Amino acid sequence: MINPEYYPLVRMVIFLVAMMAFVGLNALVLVYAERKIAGHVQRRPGPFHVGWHGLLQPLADAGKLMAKQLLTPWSSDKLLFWAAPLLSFLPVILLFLPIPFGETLYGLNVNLGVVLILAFSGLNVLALCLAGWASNNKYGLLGAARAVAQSVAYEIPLLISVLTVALMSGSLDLHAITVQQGAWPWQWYGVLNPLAFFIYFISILGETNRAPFDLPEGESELTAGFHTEYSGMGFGMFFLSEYANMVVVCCVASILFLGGYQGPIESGWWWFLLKVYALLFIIIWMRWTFPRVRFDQLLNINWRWLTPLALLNLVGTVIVLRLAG
Amino acid sequence: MQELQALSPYAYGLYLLIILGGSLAAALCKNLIRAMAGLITAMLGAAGMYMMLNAPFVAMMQVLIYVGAVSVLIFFAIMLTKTPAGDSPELGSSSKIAAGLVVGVMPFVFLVSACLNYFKQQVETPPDIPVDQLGQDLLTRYALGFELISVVLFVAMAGAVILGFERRRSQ
Amino acid sequence: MPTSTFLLCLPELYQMALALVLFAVILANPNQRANLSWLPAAAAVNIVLAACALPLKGLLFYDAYQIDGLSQFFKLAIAAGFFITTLNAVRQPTLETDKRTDYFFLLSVSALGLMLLASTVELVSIYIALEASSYSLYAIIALRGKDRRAAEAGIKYIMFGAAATAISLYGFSYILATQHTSYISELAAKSWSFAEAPGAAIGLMLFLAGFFYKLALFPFHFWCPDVYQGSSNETAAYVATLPKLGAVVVLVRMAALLKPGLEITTLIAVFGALSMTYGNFAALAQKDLKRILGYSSVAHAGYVTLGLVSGTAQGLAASAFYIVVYLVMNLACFWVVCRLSGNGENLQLEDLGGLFKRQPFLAFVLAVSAFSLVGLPPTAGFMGKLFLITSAWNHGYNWLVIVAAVNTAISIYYYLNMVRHAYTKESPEYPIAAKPGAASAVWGGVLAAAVLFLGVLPSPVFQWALTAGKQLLP
Repeated sequence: MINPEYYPLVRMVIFLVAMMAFVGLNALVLVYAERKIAGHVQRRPGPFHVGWHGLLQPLADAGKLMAKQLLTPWSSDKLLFWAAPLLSFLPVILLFLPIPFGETLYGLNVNLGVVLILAFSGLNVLALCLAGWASNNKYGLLGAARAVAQSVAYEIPLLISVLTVALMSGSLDLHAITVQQGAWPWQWYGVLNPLAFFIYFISILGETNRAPFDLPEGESELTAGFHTEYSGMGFGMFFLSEYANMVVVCCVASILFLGGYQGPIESGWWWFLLKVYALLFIIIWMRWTFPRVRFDQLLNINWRWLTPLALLNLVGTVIVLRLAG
Repeated sequence: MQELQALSPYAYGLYLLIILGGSLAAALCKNLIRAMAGLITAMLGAAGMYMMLNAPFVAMMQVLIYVGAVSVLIFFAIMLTKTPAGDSPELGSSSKIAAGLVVGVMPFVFLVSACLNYFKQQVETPPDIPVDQLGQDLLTRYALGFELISVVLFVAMAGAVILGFERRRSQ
Repeated sequence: MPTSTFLLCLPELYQMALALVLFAVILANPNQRANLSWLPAAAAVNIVLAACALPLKGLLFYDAYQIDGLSQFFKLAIAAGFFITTLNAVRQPTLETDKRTDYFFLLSVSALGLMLLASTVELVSIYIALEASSYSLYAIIALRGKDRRAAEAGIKYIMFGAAATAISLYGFSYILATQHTSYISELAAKSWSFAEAPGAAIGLMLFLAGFFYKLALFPFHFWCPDVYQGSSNETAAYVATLPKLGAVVVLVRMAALLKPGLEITTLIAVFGALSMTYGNFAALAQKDLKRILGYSSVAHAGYVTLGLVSGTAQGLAASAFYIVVYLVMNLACFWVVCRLSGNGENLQLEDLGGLFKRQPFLAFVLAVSAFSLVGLPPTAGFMGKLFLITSAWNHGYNWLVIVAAVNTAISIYYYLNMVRHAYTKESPEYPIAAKPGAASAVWGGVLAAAVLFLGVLPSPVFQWALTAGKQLLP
């Protein structure tokens, strides 16, 4: 038998492995969803030939990615070039640790869950920088520069809106924040403070480089931005981490603003997944609905609107909480 | 958690190695970006040290601020700066390097020996300070310093803008 | 009592308001053509406020901010110094017009940081107040037209300053680890001897390094001549004087923790002796006036330690008095330098030639300040040195007193060399352009008069310093 003292450790390890599987599987689902939704938004069927309604298409894509040769550009910084995709992918798995998927379904019970996620999600942009720079490719570098400017900017309203919720709940523990909200929508922080939810949602689009804020990748002007030079699983890693990041931010959104695993009738992980996938669907939907913004517009939206709005919202929340006792 | 605590010297050694390796890379790499990668590694190691001190909040802040934000800004600064054309200036004669080494190593040796000799070995776990306690202290006993930091940041930003900003010449 | 709290820190609040007004002016004039002639008058108001605030006492901000004799004494000196520097810098030839308001904004924030430094009695706040004053200096040192020397000076100041700060903070961690508090009032009860608290003793020494850097004391002096030389004359006048007040006020507060015979005290004394000797000998070989003044301030930093190591109220008062004297005589000296250098260039010794014939009044001000820097009666420098030497004698550091006396003799040469150039040499072939107006002569005269006044009648000012010292070391 295992010494009971090691249970938290064992639980963590099992959870990490499970999360790797979840991230992989999830990427397959999201790729399929993305392409199908894109297709239907543009009035075409999307992938259709591999399997029933193209269901096996993501698997075929994954096979192609893994089978592809790994090319290292001749003039790149080899060490950093290959460190970047790893640095992009590994912390993402860590981000799932404090997320409570259900009442008892979590990897690590830590009372600073929100801070942990915010801290380690910042590593992703670093990976993008290193990737862009190490490729020694001007498109790559431009993509990295855009990624930096964008993520540093959007991190601020994101943090402030999270702070607003932390202030309302008086806790940084994701589990506690979930429990404080009730099962019904009018008890959720997203309904009580819709502005914070709105700001958070816009900011995560910027943070995860999703359209309409996907300038670091900008296919039409930068070929693919920071991952131009990556082939095979090098690209695959970035791809995986991008989708995993999307899932993480949606998980956090569903916990902070939508009551987490709590739901009407019967609380449980199904509510959690339902909320997460609903948010993911909206994000994908937005990508195929809104055109990409220009870079100055991107920064103006953040510095002129989102950040002041988030600050005002924080102050307003403080005042309301104070008056309400 | 007794058994887990037995692991702590190894964790300490690991973090120490990370910090040392990172700072050596930061100091010795000629390539600026690699030096920055070393710096980031050292900062992550420092975050680990905070964990050992049972200060997870500070550790997370270390990662959030230094690894996630400050180093990214340094990266930005490196990318926006022109690398000087031609060779980098010579380091100087070997006697200068030797003198520099002596000056650099002496305080290191002195301080390390001071630390080893004069500081009590602390084996018990430091108390876990909740975040709200930290906040309370920042707004009472350390309120002045906390507020003054905003002045410092304000001046730093203003100074950077004044030095770095070229006003667009209106024709 | 909120109103009295408000009144207690009126000089700081006024200074802060001044900085904010300047910031508003920057925002209101995007092309920076603002008229700033009101600034010296506004700065002068603060002298009055600080003088009125002299007798106040109080503790603010959860005991981290102390209004006492020492802080008010230094705040008055800082307000006066800020007034003179603004007056001096308003017509700065090497400052681009579109950066003028920015320059004064940073200057006022720096003075604000120093005022706060005078009152903070908690190590973290002390450190941050010091940074508030330094950060603005980092920026303004580099503002000298497009001069490369200024950029070099700015970078040197930042790099060395950052290193000194790092040492300081590292030492702070030792203090916190061993003494478990950052409040000076609580630290005063602890032991600082190496035998009883080795970690704390090392920590305090390292912590003081940051202030030795600002003061340009011997092992941390190397930036001083380079920064004076590289920065514009007016900026150098500020950097050479006011930050040293801030450093000394903290050193005086910390020296109240120490007793003669402690390892730290001896080390400070050794640094002081080395600082005097090195500064004076290095100054002998200089040709550039600002470099001479740079090494001279290294030497004067050494003199100040005389009072710090004595461990008596008289000693602390003598240090405080001396640094104020240093402020006045150096401002007088820089006033002459700035007025003579019409285009903002650095002055060489030869440029002083024949000054007596061209500008007799400025030559007189220069002579007074040089006599005072040497420490000859009847100037303030003499009284300052006298107080220092008498307070330090018979407190275990007699050798330091002797070193100081010998050094004074050495320094006679290069200070009087300036006077000799001004009075006996012929004008250079192409004398530098200088057209000082009546106003500049008046203010130069005021500074010279202040130097003479502090030399003839030092007791009013010294009594204030002594009361302050007795509050620290009853």
